[in-house]
Amino acid sequence: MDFTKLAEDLGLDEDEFWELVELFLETSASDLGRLQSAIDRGDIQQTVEAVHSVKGAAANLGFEEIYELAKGVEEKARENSLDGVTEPVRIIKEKCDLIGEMFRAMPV
Amino acid sequence: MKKKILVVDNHPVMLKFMANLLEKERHEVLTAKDGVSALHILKTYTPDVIFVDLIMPNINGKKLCQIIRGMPNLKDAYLIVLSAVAIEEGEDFAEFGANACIAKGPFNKMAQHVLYALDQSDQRRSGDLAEKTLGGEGVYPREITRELLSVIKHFQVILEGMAEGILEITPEARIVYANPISIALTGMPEEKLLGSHFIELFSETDRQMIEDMLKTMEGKPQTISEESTVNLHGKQIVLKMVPISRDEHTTVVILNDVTEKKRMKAQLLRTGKIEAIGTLAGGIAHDFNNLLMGIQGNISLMLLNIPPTHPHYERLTNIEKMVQSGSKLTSQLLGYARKGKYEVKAIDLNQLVEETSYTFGRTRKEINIHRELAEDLFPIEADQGQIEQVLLNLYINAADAMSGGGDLILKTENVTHNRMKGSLYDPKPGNYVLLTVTDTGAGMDEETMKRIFDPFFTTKEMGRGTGLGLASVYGIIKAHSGYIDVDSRKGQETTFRIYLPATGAKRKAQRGESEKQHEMTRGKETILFVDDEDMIIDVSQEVLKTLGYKVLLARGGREAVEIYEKNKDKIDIVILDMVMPNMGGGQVYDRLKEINPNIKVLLSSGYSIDGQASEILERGCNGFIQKPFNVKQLSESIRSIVESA
Ligand SMILES: Nc1ncnc2c1ncn2[C@@H]1O[C@H](COP(=O)(O)OP(=O)(O)OP(=O)(O)O)[C@@H](O)[C@H]1O
Repeated sequence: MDFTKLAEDLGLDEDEFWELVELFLETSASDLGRLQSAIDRGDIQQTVEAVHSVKGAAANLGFEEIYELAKGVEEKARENSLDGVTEPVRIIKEKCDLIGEMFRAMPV
Repeated sequence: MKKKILVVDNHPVMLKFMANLLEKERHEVLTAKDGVSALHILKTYTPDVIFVDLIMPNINGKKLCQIIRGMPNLKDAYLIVLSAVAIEEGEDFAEFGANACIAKGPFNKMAQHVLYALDQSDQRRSGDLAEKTLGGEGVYPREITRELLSVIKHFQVILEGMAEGILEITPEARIVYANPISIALTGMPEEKLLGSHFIELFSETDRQMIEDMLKTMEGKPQTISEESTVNLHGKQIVLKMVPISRDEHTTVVILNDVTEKKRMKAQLLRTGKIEAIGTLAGGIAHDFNNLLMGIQGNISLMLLNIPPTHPHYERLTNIEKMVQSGSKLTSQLLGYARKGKYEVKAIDLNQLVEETSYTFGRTRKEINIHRELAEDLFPIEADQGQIEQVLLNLYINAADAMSGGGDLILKTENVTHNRMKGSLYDPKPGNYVLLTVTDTGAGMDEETMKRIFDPFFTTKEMGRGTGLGLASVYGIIKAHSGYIDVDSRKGQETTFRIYLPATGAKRKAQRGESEKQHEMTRGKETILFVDDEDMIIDVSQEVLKTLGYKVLLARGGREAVEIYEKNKDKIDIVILDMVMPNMGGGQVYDRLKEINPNIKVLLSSGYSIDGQASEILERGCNGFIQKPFNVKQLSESIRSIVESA
């Protein structure tokens, strides 16, 4: 992922971009926690709400892969099924962790 | 041009982005993470432009837009919806008052649309809504499906149609959802209600309790029950607070208005009390009648044995008169106890009203009586004597309330049960005759009105009123399957309304024969006298013997049956007490009837006739006599039965 290009595409300067990414990471961490426990409980409504939040922010920031994965989970849940959502959720977490690492590696 | 802007969105990333973007353009920006905080900000801040996320927890964007549009100082604010949902659902965002809609998507696109929209906000003519959806082309295809929305809509319909008030509150007890009933219950417009503090809806005295309950919920529903209702906007409310376990942030409050129910309950309780006192009063009257019977019998015997010139003759007749007054008093009590229904026949209420009011008018010259009597009034099935008692009691009360004179208006009309709509009782469907008695007297206050049908309730000075008048009126009307209510206010007119069921019988309503002259006639037949009270047996035996009858005695039901079995050929008539321990009059009657189907029986009772007695009469029993009876009444009753074929 080329964050410099991403920021440019979004018309944001890098400082601003990283500021938003930091917020995204914070919010997504809590959203993903909520998502996981909703899936464990089999709570469809909560699943939709939590993954919808992740998806929206991912789209805003141009995190296409996360956006696509989240969208898949949301659509599945809306069809009243949580079958096979564990894997995409795991990947979403991984991607977020990766972004987190890159964020922390940033020269301040 | 610098603008004041408010952005409402529940995602921090979106808020930050918007704030940065707009501040760069030198606008003044405030942000709110949900509808509640937005409404809070709007109390003191009047933005030119408001961005609202469509899908938010608590108050959703659509609702928020509607509320904002309802606020007078914001009617010119430029409202921009942030979402793809409006496009998705094919919903016209203008419908809920927005001027524009921007689809969410990558920030570069959104930035363009946001700035363009701000530009538009400058150029629009005021009042011009719904310009454009920006960026609707496919960033978020089919983002939220119709299914999800339709499920939400489904619940929406249920919530809006519920009879209970439903509120949703945040952990800070801010109201974020209110269904129409709860809006009505609080008496506050929705835009004020949403975002306001739940506990502050209630009066000071209730707040602590509600607050404590909210604090101690611990995931379990809490109820404020009907016994300890809280007061909301003048109504008595039962509260149920249900935490939504799924997310520990909200509580749903269910409000039930039990004002009417509690009123009804109180009234029913009162009716029950009247009933209970009635039973008690009836019991006393019964025993009292037996005592009077003993006194009456002894006097009768003494009178039979002395000439009118005897020095005690006048005193004895005086005592006899007092016994009669005493028996009138008990008959009022019995009327109250509803044991007094006797001699029911179709009567013309108009005729009764006319006659009684005419007589009454002569005794109270200072009162003008007006009669508005319906032509073709339905006949009623009733006991004439008792209805006369009802009328007189009402006249007397009215006259007493108009010591300086006034008008007494008597009105009759044909109505149906529909006229009693909204009253406590649930009338049997059908035709009724409505009698209204209105006076222009002193009226009465709520407190008095509540108690007027209670026995012994009177506001009249000691010795003037017994407080039994209306109690017996109530009993009599009930016994006739009728209804009575009253309307009054202190210092204003008083109206009593009496509904009596119209009879279906075609036969012409007739006036009862005037009381027959009781003749003291002698006889020589054999009588079996059945009663369980020695005093009554003693005097009755004497009286009957004096009249020439031969008397056999039985002190109870079983004994009566035995004696009758042995002497059935000798016995011409049985005088049978209704109320006896072990075997009551009804049972005895049936056994005697088995022995001799043509048996002649005269029922007697310290109660006047009640349902039980009339049943026995219907089974063929020949007559009824009410204790206390004097010699003339007794001899007359016996003769009429013996001489009938
Ligand atoms: N038409 C009326 N206007 C104002 N008050 C009334 C009227 N009728 C009844 N009341 C009130 O109801 C009370 C109870 O009436 P009720 O007929 O039961 O007893 P009473 O009239 O006091 O005694 P009594 O029946 O022995 O005359 C009265 O004392 C009076 O206060």
